[in-house]
Amino acid sequence: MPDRCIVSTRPDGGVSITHPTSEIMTIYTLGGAPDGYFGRLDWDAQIASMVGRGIRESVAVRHVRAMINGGLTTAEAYEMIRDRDTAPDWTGKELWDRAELPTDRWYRDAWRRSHNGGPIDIDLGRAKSIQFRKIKNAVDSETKRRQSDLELFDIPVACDLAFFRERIRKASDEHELRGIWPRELRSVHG
Amino acid sequence: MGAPYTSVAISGYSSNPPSDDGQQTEANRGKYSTIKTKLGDPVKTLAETMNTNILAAVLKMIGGNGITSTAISYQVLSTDQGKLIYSTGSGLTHTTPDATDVDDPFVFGVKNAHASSTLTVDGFGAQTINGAASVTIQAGDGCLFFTDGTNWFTTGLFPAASLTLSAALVADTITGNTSVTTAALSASTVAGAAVATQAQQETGSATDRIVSPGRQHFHQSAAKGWVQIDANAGNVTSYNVSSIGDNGAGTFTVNWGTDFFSTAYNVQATPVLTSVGSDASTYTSQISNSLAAGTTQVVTVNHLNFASTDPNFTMGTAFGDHA
Repeated sequence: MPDRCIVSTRPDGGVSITHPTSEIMTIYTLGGAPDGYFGRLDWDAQIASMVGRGIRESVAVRHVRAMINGGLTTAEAYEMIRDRDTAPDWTGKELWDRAELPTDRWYRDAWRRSHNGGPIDIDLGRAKSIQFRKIKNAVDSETKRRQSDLELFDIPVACDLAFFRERIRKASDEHELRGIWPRELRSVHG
Repeated sequence: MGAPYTSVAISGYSSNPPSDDGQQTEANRGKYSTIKTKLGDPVKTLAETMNTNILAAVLKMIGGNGITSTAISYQVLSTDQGKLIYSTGSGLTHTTPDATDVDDPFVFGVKNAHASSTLTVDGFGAQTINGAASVTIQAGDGCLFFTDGTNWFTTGLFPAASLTLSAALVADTITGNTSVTTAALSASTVAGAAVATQAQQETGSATDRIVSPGRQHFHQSAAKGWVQIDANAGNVTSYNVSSIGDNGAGTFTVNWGTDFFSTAYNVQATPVLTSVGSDASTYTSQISNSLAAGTTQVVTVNHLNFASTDPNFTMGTAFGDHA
């Protein structure tokens, strides 16, 4: 996999990360095949299709040419991915080393970022909703599992969801939030 | 006409030498004039005539009489025995000599040097060639004509039906049934006769064409793309995928390298859970309704809470027609 990716901010403040594939980097730089490496490559039809979904015509033309002839530098290949594979209404598009990305995806849907770019933060309010949903999911999963277990089918999961909801509401940061989890469900993920 | 070599008998040779009783007498004396007349001269005449006839015979052997080039139809003559009739024109018809005139043996060759036109050789009068009134020589081909003094026969004639051999030869070579080797097999060298074109692949109905690796993917049954994505899109293996967009937990965008013809294509996606500690059967990967010709949104959902969730891997394949 290429060691860089494009980090963007969606209109709702959410974060999208676009990972170029190894194959496209190879083709963009070394070229594909006249017939179309992946299949029929009708230049006009391909360009029309891309323009139809909001990609600038100049970008579509460069993409088709690169698919056949290659010739892009690595930097130009990343630019091509940025221009073609990220939505036009996304903002703050930056090329990041993949090592800079957060490795913990527990609160992935709470990742937020400025429209001007910059670091990825966790929205605590959204993270609290995620934490409660994961606890509820773990309870449901464990309950479902026990229904088929010879010894446990009549022993319900002891978890006071109202109690956990209050604890979640009072959490002051994501680290405290992450520690809120039913002891009985330690081995169960949300 | 007929036999190229004419046999010669010795003439003037005395097979009855004078008697000799061994005595030194005038009657027993050997004279040079007598020996020359009775022995030397006949042998000399014989050798010289044989030499002349051998030279004449060589001229009548195939290849011994040179080449006659013609760009027009030609009546082969009795003096053309041993010649090659080299034919350069288009649509020519040559005629054999009268077999009863030239008699057996008589041989001549015909070469059709034209690049594309066939050449006809017609038997003299009602005389046949290989039992037919005429034979056809393919462009670039040639053969020898022999007679039995009544009709004509060929050797080395490449029959028209054999032209279809080339396709069978290619097929046999590919399947390894023969050791025959041909030029590198490609659409250009086979001139489209044996290798399926892109259009034939897309139509998918031909049963007399060979699929080449560079075009097999045009067939409707061939996957136009596939991808395996790990939980955070950190590792992706793929075909026809330019990038993976990580838009949230269990929510990926597959950006296709080559767009589909329309949104009327088929994508199958499956979540793979190897270490999630909950019930894996509650997870499904779904294709969102924002399907586009160049992008596909895949969302993995846990049906217990209807929330999108990261699986360990997401696998997908796509079939359809490219733009």
